Amino acid sequence: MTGTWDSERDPLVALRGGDPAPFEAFVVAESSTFLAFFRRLGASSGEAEDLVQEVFLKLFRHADTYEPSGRFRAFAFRIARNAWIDRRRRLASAPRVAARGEDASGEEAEEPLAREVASLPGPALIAERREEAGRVGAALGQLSEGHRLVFELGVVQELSYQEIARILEIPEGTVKSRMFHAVRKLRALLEEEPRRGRAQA
Amino acid sequence: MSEHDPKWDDEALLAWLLDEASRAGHPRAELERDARRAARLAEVEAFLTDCREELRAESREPEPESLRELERRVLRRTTREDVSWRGDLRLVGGFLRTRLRSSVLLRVVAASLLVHLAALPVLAYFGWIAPEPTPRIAFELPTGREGELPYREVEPDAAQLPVEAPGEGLSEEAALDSLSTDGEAERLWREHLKRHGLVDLHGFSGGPRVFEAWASELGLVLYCETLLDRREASASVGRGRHEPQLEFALDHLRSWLSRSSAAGADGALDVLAASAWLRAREAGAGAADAELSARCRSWLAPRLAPGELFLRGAAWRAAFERAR
Repeated sequence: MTGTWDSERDPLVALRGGDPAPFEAFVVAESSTFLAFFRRLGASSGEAEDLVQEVFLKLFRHADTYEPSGRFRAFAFRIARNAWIDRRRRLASAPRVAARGEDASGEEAEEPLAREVASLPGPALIAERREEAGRVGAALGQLSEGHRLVFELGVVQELSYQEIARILEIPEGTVKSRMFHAVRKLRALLEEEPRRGRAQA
Repeated sequence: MSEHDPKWDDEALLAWLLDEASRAGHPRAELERDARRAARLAEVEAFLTDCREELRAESREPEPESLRELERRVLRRTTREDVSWRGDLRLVGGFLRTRLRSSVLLRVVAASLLVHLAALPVLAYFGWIAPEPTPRIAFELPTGREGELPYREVEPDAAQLPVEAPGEGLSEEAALDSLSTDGEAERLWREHLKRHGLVDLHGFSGGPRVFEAWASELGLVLYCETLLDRREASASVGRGRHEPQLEFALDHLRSWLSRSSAAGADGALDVLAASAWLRAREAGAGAADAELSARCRSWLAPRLAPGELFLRGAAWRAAFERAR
């Protein structure tokens, strides 16, 4: 996030007070943040836009019942993470699309694991994202989703371990452990990349 | 990381760098007292900073136009939502667009609906506005020679006629009604008229109007004739079921003759009436001449001769036809 959105700048508190300006400023300032967040999680550009819109709409609708109990951005990322999980579930329950190149026969996977695999981005999409993303983004894309989320929230969004734990609904110790493994794996991947590049050359 | 203090392993150092709560009570100077730990800390911190910067730089360069459009879309649906009917329409339109974009089946259904709606005015035009086609009615005239009946006349076989007691199943009122409303009677006298060639003989071919002016009287006369015919035909098996009708018909004929004689009427129809009366008298049917008034009898007398002549002529013609 590019700024703090707490106390008098809390968009939902302001909205409830009849002032839409902080919310509008939040939308304009943080659209790109959420867009990048969803893109790094594995959403296509269209999906990411839909998800960002969904997050802002959910926030807006929460204004009447919102009670600030922490930093606003932690709350916003909790909404974003829930939107992402909902999206994943919808994709997992939807029939597989042959056009994604994963299953040309169109047969529907019956096992939950297979369905989850089916909901993941296809190789073509991953390759496309690697081209689009920079060196770190590409390496981050190779981490598991759990590690990726912890790294994203902790390193990029600079949320505390406690906030991450609340967002992901996991113990703080798990956050600490995942963060450590995520950083170690990312470093390994980034160190490995120049060697692979030299070998290919 | 620190080999001397297991408390500050890599995981703890990372937490110290990333988590504010982990930093509490442990100033940087404390950690950097150990040179190797300080170097490790600086290395990890630099790595995290590099990653953060690169990733944030990526997120700062999405396609600007699509991002602006996304922001506008969000604001339109939140703080700048149009609550007028235009806004409602836009909302419904947006919803429909999204649904149509995501479902082929829905697109097919929508296209079909459009086709049907487009066809509706055309159907309405043909159903309500366009002139109805004029029905074509054609009459088929019977072929054959003029004056020839379009059917074969079959004389009733006496042996097949039912034998019934006189007046059985017939009230007086019903019999009287039959004279005016009985469709069969009307058909019979019309047949009779043609059969005896009356149309030509008496010049009744003036048209239906002349004919209809006489219809009730002529009908009565011919009805009597028909009943007499049937009486003759059924003579071998006894008195038929038409006997009561004949009685009533002759009663009416008598009263008509009385009226005609009182009025001094004189015409072709009176001759026919006289012939029917004469025939009934000869056949022994109905009331006797004595029941007529003197004036009526005197009026009837000069008409009986031509009536008899007509009767004989008609009988001869009928016999000839049968023989032929």
